[in-house]
Amino acid sequence: MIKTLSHLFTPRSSNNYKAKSLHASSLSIFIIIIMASQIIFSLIGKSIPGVLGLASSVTTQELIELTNQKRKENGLGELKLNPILVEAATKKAADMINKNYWAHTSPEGKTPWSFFKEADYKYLYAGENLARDFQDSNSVVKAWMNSPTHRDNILSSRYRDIGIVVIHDTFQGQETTLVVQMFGTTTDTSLSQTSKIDQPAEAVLAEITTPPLLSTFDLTKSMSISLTLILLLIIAIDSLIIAKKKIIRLSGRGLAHLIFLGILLLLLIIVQPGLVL
Amino acid sequence: MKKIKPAYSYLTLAIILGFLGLIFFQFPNFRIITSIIIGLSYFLWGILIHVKDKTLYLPVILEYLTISLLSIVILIFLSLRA
Repeated sequence: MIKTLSHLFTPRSSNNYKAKSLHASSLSIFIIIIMASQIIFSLIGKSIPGVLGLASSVTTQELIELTNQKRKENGLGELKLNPILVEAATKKAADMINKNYWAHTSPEGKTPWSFFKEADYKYLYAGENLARDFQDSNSVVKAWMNSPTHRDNILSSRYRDIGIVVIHDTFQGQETTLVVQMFGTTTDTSLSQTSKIDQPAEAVLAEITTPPLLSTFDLTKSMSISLTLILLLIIAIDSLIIAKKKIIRLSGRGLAHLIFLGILLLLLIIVQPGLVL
Repeated sequence: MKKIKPAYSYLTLAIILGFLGLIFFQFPNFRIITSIIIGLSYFLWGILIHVKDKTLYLPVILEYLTISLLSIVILIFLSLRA
């Protein structure tokens, strides 16, 4: 047992003075394990719905409150939830899911403004913000505020109404929380400026179903962090023993591997789910 | 070929990877391509350093290749789930 462990994790004559788990063959097995686990996660997600997916707590109400909070902080009036815009946002979200696209314009060239018109929202100004895969409402609004175009939509003095939808569904092959946020001002509203749509907005989908038992993102993240930590530890032990015993061998640089995997570990720890468009 | 001082080569590696790490976070929509660049950069760095040291042999190439591939696979799958 001890012999096997030493063979796997420490440099010795049996493994040609390099921990067996650091050999190219062992590293290839790690790659195969990672790939196989992802295939298994996808298969479980599809065959047993509700077990694996993205555990999200994004809600429409929170998104509206947070959006209005940002506006207040910037001296702007609150946006009113408009049922017609909610309908337009819902239709946009359904269209993206049904036609499997992630964009402001559909593959057939249907623009966000078509959804405003279909819902019979006669706009003076209109905008749309999109987000997907965020775990909570705060992260969604934070990501939007960090993006100049999305921020402009949220903090535009031209808008009076808001419509948000949050949809939890299978999108592009995985469990996803999709958010469509639509902004608008109707032609009935008196504004000092002349009417013109000059930028796309994003819509948020706001219907959250029961979250899955396990988040595939969290599972993948935990697995990746664990593997990276184990490798870091083995390389550190291997390098220390080699340096201490002054063994000369044909190998890559241990310190370089430590720097590389250290930065990888940092990325894995910090990365959070979610995309905005 | 002139030998590179190890400290400088490690510093260069850390700066390159740090910069790519920032891109990874700043542009979430481009995470997959950034992941590939991160892995590829490390592989090329390793090859270059060992060429300079005249210690480039097949086991060394395979070592850098598998570690780079492992990092690419990890980052790509995490990006796809994110």
